[in-house]
Amino acid sequence: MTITPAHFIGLAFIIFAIGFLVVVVRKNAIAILMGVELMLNAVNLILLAFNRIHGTMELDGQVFAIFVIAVAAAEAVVGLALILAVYRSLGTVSIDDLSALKG
Amino acid sequence: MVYDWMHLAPHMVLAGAGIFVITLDLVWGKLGRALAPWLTIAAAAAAGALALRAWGPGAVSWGGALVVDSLYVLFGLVFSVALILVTLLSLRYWPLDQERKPEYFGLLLLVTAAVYFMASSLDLILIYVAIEFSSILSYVLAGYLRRNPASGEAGLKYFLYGASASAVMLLGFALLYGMTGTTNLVGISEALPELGRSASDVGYITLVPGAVEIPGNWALFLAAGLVLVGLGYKISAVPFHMWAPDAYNGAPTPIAAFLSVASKASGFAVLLRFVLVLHPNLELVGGAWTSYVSVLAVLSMVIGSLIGIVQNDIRRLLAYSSIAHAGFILLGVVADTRLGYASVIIYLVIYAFMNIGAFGLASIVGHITGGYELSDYSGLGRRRPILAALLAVFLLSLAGIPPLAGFFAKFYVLAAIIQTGHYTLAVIAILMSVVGLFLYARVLKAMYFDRPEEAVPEVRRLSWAGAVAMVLCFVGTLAPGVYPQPLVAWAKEAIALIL
Repeated sequence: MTITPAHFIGLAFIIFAIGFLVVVVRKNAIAILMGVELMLNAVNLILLAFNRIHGTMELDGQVFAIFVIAVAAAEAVVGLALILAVYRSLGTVSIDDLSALKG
Repeated sequence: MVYDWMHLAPHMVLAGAGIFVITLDLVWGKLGRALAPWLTIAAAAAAGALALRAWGPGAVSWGGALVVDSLYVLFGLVFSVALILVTLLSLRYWPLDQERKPEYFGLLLLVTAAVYFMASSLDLILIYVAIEFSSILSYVLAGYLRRNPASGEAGLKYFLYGASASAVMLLGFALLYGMTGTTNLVGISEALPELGRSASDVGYITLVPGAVEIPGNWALFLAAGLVLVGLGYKISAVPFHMWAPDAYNGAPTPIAAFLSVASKASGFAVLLRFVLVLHPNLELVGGAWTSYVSVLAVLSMVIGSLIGIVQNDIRRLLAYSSIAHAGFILLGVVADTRLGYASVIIYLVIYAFMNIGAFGLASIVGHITGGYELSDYSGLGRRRPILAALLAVFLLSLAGIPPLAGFFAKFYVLAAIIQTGHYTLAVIAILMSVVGLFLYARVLKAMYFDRPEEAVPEVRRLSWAGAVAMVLCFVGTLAPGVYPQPLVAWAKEAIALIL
């Protein structure tokens, strides 16, 4: 059996679903961040597979994926910094314990 | 291909000033601290003035990724005004005195550069990068007060929610690219009729030739819905609003003012860009797309107004009010006429002044008394008659009382949806305005009728910069109410030039 772009897209949707479930279910901020990264990388896979389908002369999808990687890196940096700041002041990174703001 | 640097001038001025302010702080701290706010105001004014040159039907450059037109000009002016007002408010805001201030102004400049990009991009890649650029910096600004745990919590909640929403939106972008083979909005618009024909005649849309075929319009619905999640988060429309009350509550209050105006306006800029570029071919996708937007609008108005009533913290109260206003503004998109789109712009310009005014006074009263609870406002009418009167003006304008500008904002939105026969929506909007009036009246009651249980001490003095910002907001709230014709004419011309 040959591996076609359709297989990549199928796999990517499964990874995206896993990432989304992690974001919805997990209470640990770092785990949620990991779920977001899974979602972003699933989209990267989809973009690359679509680029393959539309022909390799136009590189829109691949360029898009590179930008997504860069943005994901920046997002991880800021996210981890915020998680660290919250851990320093509250001693926890579970979003259940983040309850100073309520109303 | 055209690479026109003049089209990028406002973006470059803002981003350059932002990097310069941060660098100056590192190499010459004393000068950096003294100059940062003034450089910020100068750069905001310069960017607005440079953007004005682009007024017209639209010039596309940078490989079709960047467009400068009348819509971008009006949004750019809203962003510049918001930046200037928020800079003045931040100047003496006491919690910031304990943090690095030049960096704060540098980040504000960079966020403004990002929202300028959001208003002028025509390519999915640039739109995504610009949205993330502004979001990531907003997370930092929301969590800027390291000594205040609430600020870090606000930043983290905002981050977790925003990162998830934008990842979902990115999937929508990827699907749009997959179906059309291009990331350019104009190219996508040109590919839509073919997709529409495929869906209606053949019965499916091909995602992967020979392997994945999605029946009917579902692939387009899915993509549009996913994109709407990301934009709904940016404009804080229900059901993507959960971050807003917490973020506005914990963030430095001037930042809450900035987010509630600039972030919301930038989301609407992207939404309008999508709708206006795809407009000729949107009917092929499914004529009922406005009814999906109207669901968001109704939910935002109802939930924002009703939950806002029970809030006791002024920042949370204003957060829910800003959610309700997102619903009102969305009504202009639902109308889907020139008047409707013009009313979105009119609303956002007026909303910028009155909402920064309301948040600004929350910030000033918080600065003076150290409190943000409604009980801290009891007796404010006697203690600080001028501040109380200003806050009353902003709140009544937000409620839509004539002759204040907020009335005209609501008036044009309602005129647009009544013109297109959405009577039910109009009735809901009017009912929710009445509920909203009750929400703002709670603050007015506290200020003018409640007696404080114990004397509220004033721990800090009123700053002149905050006072100047409030006077500017007052003028901006009163002038369009007394003399709305120029603003209405500009907004209508801006839409007529491009639609």
